[in-house]
Amino acid sequence: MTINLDLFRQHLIYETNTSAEMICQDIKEIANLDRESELQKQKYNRYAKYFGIAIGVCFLLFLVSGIFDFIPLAGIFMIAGFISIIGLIWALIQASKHGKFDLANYRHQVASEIVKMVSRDMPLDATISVRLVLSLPTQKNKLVETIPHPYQSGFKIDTFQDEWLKIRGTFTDNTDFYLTATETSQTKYGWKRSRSGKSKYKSKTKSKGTDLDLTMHYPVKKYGAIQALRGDVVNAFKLPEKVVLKKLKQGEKNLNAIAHIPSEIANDKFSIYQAVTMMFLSTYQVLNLAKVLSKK
Amino acid sequence: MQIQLVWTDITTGKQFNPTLETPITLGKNFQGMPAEMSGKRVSRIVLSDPTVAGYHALIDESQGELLVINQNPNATTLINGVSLPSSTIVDGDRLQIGAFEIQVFLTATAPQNSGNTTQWKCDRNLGFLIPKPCGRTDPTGCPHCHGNPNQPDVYYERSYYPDYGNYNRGYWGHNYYSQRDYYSYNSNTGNVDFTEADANSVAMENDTDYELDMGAS
Ligand SMILES: [Zn+2]
Repeated sequence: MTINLDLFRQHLIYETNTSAEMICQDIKEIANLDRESELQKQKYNRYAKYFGIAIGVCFLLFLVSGIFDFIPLAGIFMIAGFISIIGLIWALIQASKHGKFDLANYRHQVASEIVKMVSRDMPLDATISVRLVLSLPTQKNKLVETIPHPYQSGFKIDTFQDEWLKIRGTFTDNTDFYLTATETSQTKYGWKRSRSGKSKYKSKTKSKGTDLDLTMHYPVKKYGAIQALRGDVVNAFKLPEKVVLKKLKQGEKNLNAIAHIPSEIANDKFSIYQAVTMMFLSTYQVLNLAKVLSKK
Repeated sequence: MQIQLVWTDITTGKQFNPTLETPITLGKNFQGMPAEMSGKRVSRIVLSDPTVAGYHALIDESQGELLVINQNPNATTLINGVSLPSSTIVDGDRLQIGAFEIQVFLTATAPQNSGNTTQWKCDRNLGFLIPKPCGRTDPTGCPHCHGNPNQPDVYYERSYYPDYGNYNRGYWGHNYYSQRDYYSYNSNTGNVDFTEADANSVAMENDTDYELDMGAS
C-alpha cells in the first residue's frame, strides 16, 4: 500500500507512480473509505429523520398538554422537543461530515479497471502513473469561465472542468500512452422573481459529458509506415454507440484521439471503460497493421 | 506427447480445437480431476453436460502409444463407436464422451523445431493490444495453458471490437495488408517506400487472407 489515507482525505486526490498491482490495492482502500462513509452518512440521515419525527411529536403533545392545562407535562415536552432539535442538528452535521467522503463510485472503479487493462501489455516491472481526482466536479478551483446567461437576465453560467483521471505508462512495444478524462459541468444560477413578486435564488448544475483524450507516442522504427495509412486511420476508429470521436490527429510520432461521452452515460462505469478500451483497440488496430507495413 | 482435440460444444455450438500436452483428463468437474499425475501437469478439459461424469476419461501416453482410459464405471467412453474401458488411439480417432464427440489428432510435427529434437512451445498470444507469443516451453506460469478451453475469456473486451486483428478482404486495412510486401519504412529518410513495380502481379496470386492470431480461443 502506497496510499496515505489521511492525506487523501484532505484533497480527495490520489496520485502515484507505481505498479498496477499497488495502484489497484490503493484504489481498493479508497473504495473501502467510500463505502464506509456512505453507510455512515445513511445512518446519520436516518437518525436525523427520527429526531425530526420526535420534534413533531413533542410539539403536538406540547400543544395538547397546553390545551388541557397540564403545565408540568407541557414543560417536559418542550424540553424534549429542544433536545430533539439539538439531536437533529448533530445528526445532520455528522451526515455531512461523512458525506464528504462519499465519493463518485464510478471514478475509482473505472480507474482500477483501466489500470488492469493497460497493464496486460506492459512489462512485469513497469510502473503506471495515475492521478485520480475524487473531489466535487464543481469545486472552485475547477471553474474555468463565468458568462452571463444568453437570455435569462440576471442569471449567470459557470463552466467547470474536472480533469478527474490521468493515466500514463509505456507498453511492451515502447509506445507511451497518456489518457485523461475530463468532465465538464455547468451551473446556471441567479435570482428568479415568482408571480407573487418574491425573489428566489435558483441554482442548477448539469453535466455536459466527459472527454476522453488519448495520446500514443510510438517508436517510428517499428510503426513508421503508419504514415501510409494517413487518412484511413479514422475509419479504423470504433467507439460505443453514443460516444463520438471529436478529434483525431496524427503526427509523425504520435496519434491523438479525443472522444466525447454524453452526459447521460458519462457517470456510468461500464460506458467509460468500454469507450477507453475501444480507443486503445482502435489505435492498435492501426499500429499492428503499420508494424506489418514497416517491416523490410 | 502433444495432441490436438477437436469438438463442438453441444450447448453453444462453439468449436474447440486446443492443442494439449498429455496427460489430458476430461470430465464435467474441473476440481474433480487430478491436477498432477506422476509429476506432470494435467491438462484438464471441462465438458459441461449432465451426460458427462465428473471425471470421465483420461488420455495419456504409454510407451510411445496414446491411451484412453475410462475413469468412471457408471460412464461409458466410446472409441470409434465401440464402448471400451481402455484402448489405444491413433490419429483421427473419434471419442464419444457423454454427448460430446471429440476427434483426436496427433501433432507429431510440433510447430517449433530446435535442432533435431522437437520441442513444444506455447503458441498462445499473451498481449491484449499487442499480440506476443507466449513461447513457454513448459506450461507452468502461462495464464492460458490450463488446458481448459471453457474458462472465461480473459480478453473478453475484444468483443467490443469484433474486427480486431482482422485485415481480411472486406475489413479495414485489407488493401494495405494485401500489398504489405511492397511497403517498407526507411528510418533514415523517414519515408514509407512502396515498390510498385511488380506489386500488382504478385499481389494477386499471393493474396493470402490474414488474421492476426489473437490466440484466445
Ligand atoms: Zn503459454
